[in-house]
Amino acid sequence: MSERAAVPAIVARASQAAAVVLAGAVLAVALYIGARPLGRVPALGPLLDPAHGIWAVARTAELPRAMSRRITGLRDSVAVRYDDRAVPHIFAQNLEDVMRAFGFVVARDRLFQMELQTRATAGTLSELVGASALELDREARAQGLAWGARRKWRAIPDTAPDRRLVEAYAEGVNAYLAQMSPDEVPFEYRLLGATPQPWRPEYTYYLLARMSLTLAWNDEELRRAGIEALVGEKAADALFPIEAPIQEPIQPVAGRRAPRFATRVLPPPAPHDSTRLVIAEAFQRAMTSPALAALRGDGEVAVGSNNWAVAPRRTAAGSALLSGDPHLQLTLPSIWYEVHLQVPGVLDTYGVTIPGGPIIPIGFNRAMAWTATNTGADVLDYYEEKVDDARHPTRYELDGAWQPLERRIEAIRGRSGRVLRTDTIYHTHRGPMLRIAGRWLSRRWTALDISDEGRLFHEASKARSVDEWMAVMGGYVGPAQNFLTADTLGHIAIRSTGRFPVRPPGISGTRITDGTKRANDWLGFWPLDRYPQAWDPAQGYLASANQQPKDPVVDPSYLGSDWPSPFRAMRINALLRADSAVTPDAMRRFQTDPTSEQTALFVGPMFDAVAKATAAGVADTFAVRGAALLRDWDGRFTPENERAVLYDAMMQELTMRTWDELRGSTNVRRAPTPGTAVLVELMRDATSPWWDVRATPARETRDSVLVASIGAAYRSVSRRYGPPGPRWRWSNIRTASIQHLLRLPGLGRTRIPMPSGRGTLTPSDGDGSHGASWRFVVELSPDVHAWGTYPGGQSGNPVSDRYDDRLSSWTAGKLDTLRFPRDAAGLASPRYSLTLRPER
Amino acid sequence: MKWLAQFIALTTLIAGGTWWLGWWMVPVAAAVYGAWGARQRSAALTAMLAAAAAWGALLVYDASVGPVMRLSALFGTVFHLSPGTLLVVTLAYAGLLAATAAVCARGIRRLMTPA
Repeated sequence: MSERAAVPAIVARASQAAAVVLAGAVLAVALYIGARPLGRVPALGPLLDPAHGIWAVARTAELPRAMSRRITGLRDSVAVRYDDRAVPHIFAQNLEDVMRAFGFVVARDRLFQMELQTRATAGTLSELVGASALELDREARAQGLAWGARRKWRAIPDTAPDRRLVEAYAEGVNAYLAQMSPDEVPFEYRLLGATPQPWRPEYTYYLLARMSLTLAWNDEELRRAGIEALVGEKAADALFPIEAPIQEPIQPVAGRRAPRFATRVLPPPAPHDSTRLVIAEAFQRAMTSPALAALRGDGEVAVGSNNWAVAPRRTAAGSALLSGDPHLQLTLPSIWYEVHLQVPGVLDTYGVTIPGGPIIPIGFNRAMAWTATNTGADVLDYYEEKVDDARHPTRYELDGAWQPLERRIEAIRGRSGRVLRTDTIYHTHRGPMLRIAGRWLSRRWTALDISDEGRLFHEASKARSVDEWMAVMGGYVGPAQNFLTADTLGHIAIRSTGRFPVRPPGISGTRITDGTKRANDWLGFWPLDRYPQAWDPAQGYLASANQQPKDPVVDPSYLGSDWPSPFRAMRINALLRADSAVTPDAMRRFQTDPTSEQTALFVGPMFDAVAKATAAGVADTFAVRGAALLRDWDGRFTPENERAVLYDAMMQELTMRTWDELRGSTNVRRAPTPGTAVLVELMRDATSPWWDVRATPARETRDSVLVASIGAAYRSVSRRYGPPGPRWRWSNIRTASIQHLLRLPGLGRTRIPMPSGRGTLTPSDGDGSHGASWRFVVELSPDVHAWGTYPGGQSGNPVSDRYDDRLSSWTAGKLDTLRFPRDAAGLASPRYSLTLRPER
Repeated sequence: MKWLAQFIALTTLIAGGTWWLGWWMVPVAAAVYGAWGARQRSAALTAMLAAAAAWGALLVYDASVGPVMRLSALFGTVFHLSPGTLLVVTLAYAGLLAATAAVCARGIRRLMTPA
């Protein structure tokens, strides 16, 4: 080659080399982000792969119409038939097999939810989602829920039959994991770039512990310390009373056909105690920590479950009826999963389960039905401990002697396995300690006691009558529930069941107790016959709605305080009293009844106050307009109503003005306000000092506060929604908001109109994140019939039709017919079928 | 015609490779094609189009058995992107992998060939 020709060739080669280098660099980057996660973005290769990546989530949105699998440990074949609502009906020949299949099918639909809930309890979320969950994990470890759950699991003898059932369930979950194809990995794992972890039997107990945190947590001592610092001890006792001012108890009082108004005159507020307020505010911060709130699943909420049962003589068909309406945090996928388990001659139970728990806590069989509302009893006490070192204690004082503290080292790991944080949790003989404002408090809580609720629920689900069911559940520890049952023999019964502590004389469950004396420890627990309960009452029906279970005139023993206002119970009882031929459809309608028993208690006095102010010539124009509008109101919180918004705003104003004494310094995030029943109590004292608004020079009275409240409500509603009209529709204002478990946008469902308001059976005065988690009605006729729905669907796959297919019926207050076939052949044309066979 | 035959063969290879072996078959198949067709100026373009077509075909299959568009829209909502972004990113990623792999392989092959 000549020199002249060689120059362009070199240039061409150089440019070719440059192109290779450039393309190589881009390829290297593309491969790197394809193979490795970049921050929160998962590795793109496996994510975008249309064969096995996130797109496979679409391909596996629906279950295969027919599938057969061999799984380890199974003794006989198990037939699983899914009905038209995608509910699996599991037909097995023995209990262990039914549990294996149970674990398999639940994992197939709700795998991510099972792991997430387990990790939330165990305090290992950081391993899944990264350091953003560190505070949640620290809180969970400090609570000791997983620690307690592991103790419970270890306490169950290896040979106990119920232990085998929990193990069989875990084997079923793991059998699903073992045969799961990469295409079936749930959506959330793909977004997180994570893989599912194997399931361990004790995780079942984690879930039960988590329910205790949601339902049986009681911070009354800490909260009351704050209230006392603000208004004094007497006032605090009156505002958050042990005895509810309106008595409509769960255990009926013979001959009483209306609520008992046990109203008292509220003692005046004492001046703020600034010294105590500092500690109180630290307590308040601990109580309202976002981590604790997230773990407990609460926020700005009004939680309220309902249940009721009607004896045959008050039903149209002459069979007992039972309605269950537990309210919890609403999530997608739902907290509940519907299932039917059958082992011929042994078990034939239909109901809802919490994914991960091989039990049916709410359901029915061929002979009876059961449901629950939360009792809200005080089963958690705080003790102030004296320790040998303020920062790193090793001992605590008890009866004048030093006792060693148990130490629990908790290492919290991140996604890479690196330890993010190590915490030391100290335990006294009462339970784990926490340190607030330099004080060490230990916690005695029944949720951490050794117990086996799983076995009890399992045994109870086989009961043939109300008496059998209640006898089995007599040993139930917690979270304390108002268990309601009805059977085909025509019996109905209710009992507030849980382990209720007996405290030494002079020791209150409402105040922090001196921990240096063993004599201050609990003495024991209530005997079963003292539990609030009723069997086949003369009134012919039973109902509970979280209200105080026993009227103190019947039994003044301390069970708890600051009971939810009983307006829901009053409404249920009013509806049941008025209907002597109740039908299942009436039971369904009652569940979404939009009327509140509280409105009349405030609207009437407000009208009177506005009339007086008008006559005196001092009425505010807006108050007059507001009162005129509320005169048109039927008192119902229906979605189309255009007046409920005004009442709601008036109550907000009234509450804010009345309890202004409870607003502490700006450091306090949210001072709790007394229940509405206490406000009703105060309404009877027109000149109470509580009516005075501290920020004004005038001395307010009840009437002036009522007039100011309706006036301010009219102004605020008009400012926000314009003049009275369609924009005032309740459906625009009060809606349900169902978030995905990870709160991912697009995976939740929001702005769902609800017939709910203050004091209605579906209370929703918070952010709409809580509500009816499962509604069902059972007719205990010789051939049991049932109807039900929940806000969501059976599948955890967000692009499946079964992810939220029940939402429309739930929103409309409708219930679906629940299929309860006697055998596999009894389910005509199943939507899907799965056959599980033993491994050869 | 020859180009079309090569394109179809490469598309089939990438689709099959992805289905049976995984996403990394895209750059591998494209690199092989790039090295083999080193004399062709359009090797990178062909590889890019074939990869996008292969993954597109797999997506069409996915759509025939599941709600692919719903998934794409959902993904967009989760990451605050437009509904079709996931679809576009998927095809673009396959194309990018294939094109760059083909350019590299073709370039190396040509550089190693004596002038």
